[in-house]
Amino acid sequence: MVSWRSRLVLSIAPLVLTLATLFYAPTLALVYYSFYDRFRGALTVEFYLDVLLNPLYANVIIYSLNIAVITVLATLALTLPVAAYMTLYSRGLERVLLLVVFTTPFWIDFLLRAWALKSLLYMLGVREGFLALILGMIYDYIPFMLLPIYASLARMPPNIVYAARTLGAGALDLWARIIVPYALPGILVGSTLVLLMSLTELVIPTLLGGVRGFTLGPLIYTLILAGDEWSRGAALAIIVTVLSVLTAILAYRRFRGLMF
Amino acid sequence: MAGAEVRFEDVWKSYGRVVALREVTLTAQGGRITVLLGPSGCGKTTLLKIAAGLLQPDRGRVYFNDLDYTDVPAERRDVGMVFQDLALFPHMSVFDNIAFGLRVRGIRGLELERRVKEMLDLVGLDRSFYNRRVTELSGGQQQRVALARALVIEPKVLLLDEPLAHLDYKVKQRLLEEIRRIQRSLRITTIYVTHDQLEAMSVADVVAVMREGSVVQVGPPREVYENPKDLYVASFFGDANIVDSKFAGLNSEGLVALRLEDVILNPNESVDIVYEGVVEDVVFQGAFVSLEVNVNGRVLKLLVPRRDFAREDVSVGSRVRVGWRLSNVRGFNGVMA
Amino acid sequence: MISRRALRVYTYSTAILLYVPIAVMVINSFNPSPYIGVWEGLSLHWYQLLLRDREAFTAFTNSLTVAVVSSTLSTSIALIAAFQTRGRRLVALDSLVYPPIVMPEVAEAVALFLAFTYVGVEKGWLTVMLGHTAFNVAFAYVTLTVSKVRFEELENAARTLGAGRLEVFKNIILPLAMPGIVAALAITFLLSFTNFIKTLFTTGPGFYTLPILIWNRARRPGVSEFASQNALNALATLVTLVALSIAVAYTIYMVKRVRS
Repeated sequence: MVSWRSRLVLSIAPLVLTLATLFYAPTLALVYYSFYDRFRGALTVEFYLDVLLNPLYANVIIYSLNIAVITVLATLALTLPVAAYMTLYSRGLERVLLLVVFTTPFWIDFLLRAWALKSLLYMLGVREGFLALILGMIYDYIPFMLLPIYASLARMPPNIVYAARTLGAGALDLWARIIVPYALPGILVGSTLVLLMSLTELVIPTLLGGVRGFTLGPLIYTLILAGDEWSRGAALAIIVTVLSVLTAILAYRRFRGLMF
Repeated sequence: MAGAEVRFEDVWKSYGRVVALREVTLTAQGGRITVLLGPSGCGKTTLLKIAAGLLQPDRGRVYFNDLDYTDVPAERRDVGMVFQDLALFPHMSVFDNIAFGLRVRGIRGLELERRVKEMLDLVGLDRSFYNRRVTELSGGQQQRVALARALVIEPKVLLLDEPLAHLDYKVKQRLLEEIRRIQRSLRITTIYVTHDQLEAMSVADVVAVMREGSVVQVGPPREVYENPKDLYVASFFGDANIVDSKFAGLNSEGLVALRLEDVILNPNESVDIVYEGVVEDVVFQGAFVSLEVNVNGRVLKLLVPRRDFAREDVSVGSRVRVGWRLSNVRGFNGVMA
Repeated sequence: MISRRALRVYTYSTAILLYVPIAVMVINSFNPSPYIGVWEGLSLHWYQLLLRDREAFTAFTNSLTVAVVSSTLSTSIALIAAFQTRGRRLVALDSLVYPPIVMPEVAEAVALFLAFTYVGVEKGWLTVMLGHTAFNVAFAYVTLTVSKVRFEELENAARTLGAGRLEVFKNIILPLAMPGIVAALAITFLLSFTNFIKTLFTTGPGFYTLPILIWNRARRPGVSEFASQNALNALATLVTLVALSIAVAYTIYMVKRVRS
């Protein structure tokens, strides 16, 4: 009889091994390359310093951050009313239908949605550039912002609005004290998600940004695939990853009970 | 369907550092209901699972009718078990849930149908339930299905793990009666686990009070109630006032227990000790009225039959007398009444 | 309180706007002119052309093969692990499995690129498939372990009723695990089929998937007839259709299960 312990280990092994070889090992390679100067065969922090301090790169980073922040704010403003409507005023069939309508874009390829928008903009005479870029980001990321907010608002017990009104809450109070607090976890999760994803976005800046589309994503692409600056690219990738993981951990800790 | 006698001998079980069962020696007599009573974490469910064969003891043996069953796996022990959360198969209908154990034993066709229907009748579910999804049923109905499923295989032993845990009071009462009725008619050995002393009292032939992995006292309910071995049993099985023995009127040291119903309000019958006090709380509880009386700083709880209470004109703040017979004072460890 | 009416109008308009670009794309796919802005009536020209489009066909089969292999492989690996723990989550395993999901895709892609280069593996079909699997395995595992079914308890019940290991597996565990398994397969398949960024960094000369093809054509429209704007629209429409039909099929499957 094979013991339970060893059976457990055997069955978890494939999963752990796969992750180890295909994810953790590459991540280590990433870290390694970010410190390793291929041409001089030495370990150095020079790449990190260069990436962070050199205005060439720093500008790109700041620019990407700007774009990301704009995207977050825009999607937030656009999706909040929708989430509010769906949870406060919509019930049964309508709500389900709306939910389906807003989640279907997930099934449609990211790339295709960007292309579709590009086609439309082209027809409207909007060419590649800053405007197209922002519109593209917003268009692609709306579902990512909407769903968390909806999910978090949906946890609001339906009678709570009635309860508040019987207690004398006016419109402002209702929004400020009840609706926003319930939506807050979702807003924060959605914003974090959109922020991090749009920071490293590659498809939209390239397709729609034209000259103004040189953000972190395309930068890393250029460094690694189009150029030979692997170490700098790796350093950038690590920086972004650390940022994402930290934010994810913070968000998880803070909102664990509220959303999941 | 006479039941097998289940005997635990010196059973120990630990989970890592936590000792769940320590030196448990207990016999569940054939054909009777033995109740394992204790608070959560006292090990009663662990003991039940060992009886079922789902867990193996670290030390000690388990005997079914004097045969060593310790190493026999659950699927060959022929026990019927009702789990705390019922564990009904959600993807099967009522009929299929009950039929499962029979199908596994190779029983099919008409014989299968007959036995399942018989069992459904026994637990009080009619034919409209046969094809219903178990997830659609109410708590009480699900309980009955779980019971039927466990009994249809005609097990040697019936094991019940807090079967009435999440039910309404009325449903609980009814099911308790049904369980007793079924057990009596089938005469199947039953081990029943619960933390509810009232359930225990209603159903047990023998009650085993457990605490932190050990069996503290075993006996028929009345005996355990009237002669609790220690403070823990006295306050867990039945309710009691725990007071100083001198206060209770005994010439000794230590704590003693005074059952709530043994403290008489304004006694005119013969009692040995009387005190004066002030009523602090009156709660109407149907057949009884529960009183809290402050006697020189000590708060005593009384349970007064409704009839008797009606005669007195007592409310919060009234001055009353309370008294008891010395023979009703329960002492432990050599403290005699 | 912002009127219900206003919110409703807003929500519905947003919903419609979300699909306008896609509608434009679909409609234009029937436009025989190679350029989006010039409307020349309805025609199936581009679809007919697609039948002769060798590149597209190769890309499609490539995507399909990679997706099928990767999803089956990753779901199996995750299943073995999830099965042994009977669907309960082990904290240790959880923390191992989340990073691939949290890490930005670009960073992961770069890591894979560097790792494969370091090891000296020739990039192509295999590297793409492996890259997908790393990520899919994590997703599959999470999908399989969100089930609310208490497998262990049901197994205990079945055992006390006399069922042996095999019977328990066949009658209890398998039927109840099936929805989760199908979900894991569907999700990993879709993720792999539509994956772009990881594929971009792990593919080699001569191997391309559908997203890669679309990307190349979208960046340089008009270079060949196949790559003209509306031809791409036709391709994109088809791909969208496939994705949507899978989504619909899956939803029907889930609804059927819930009903039964």
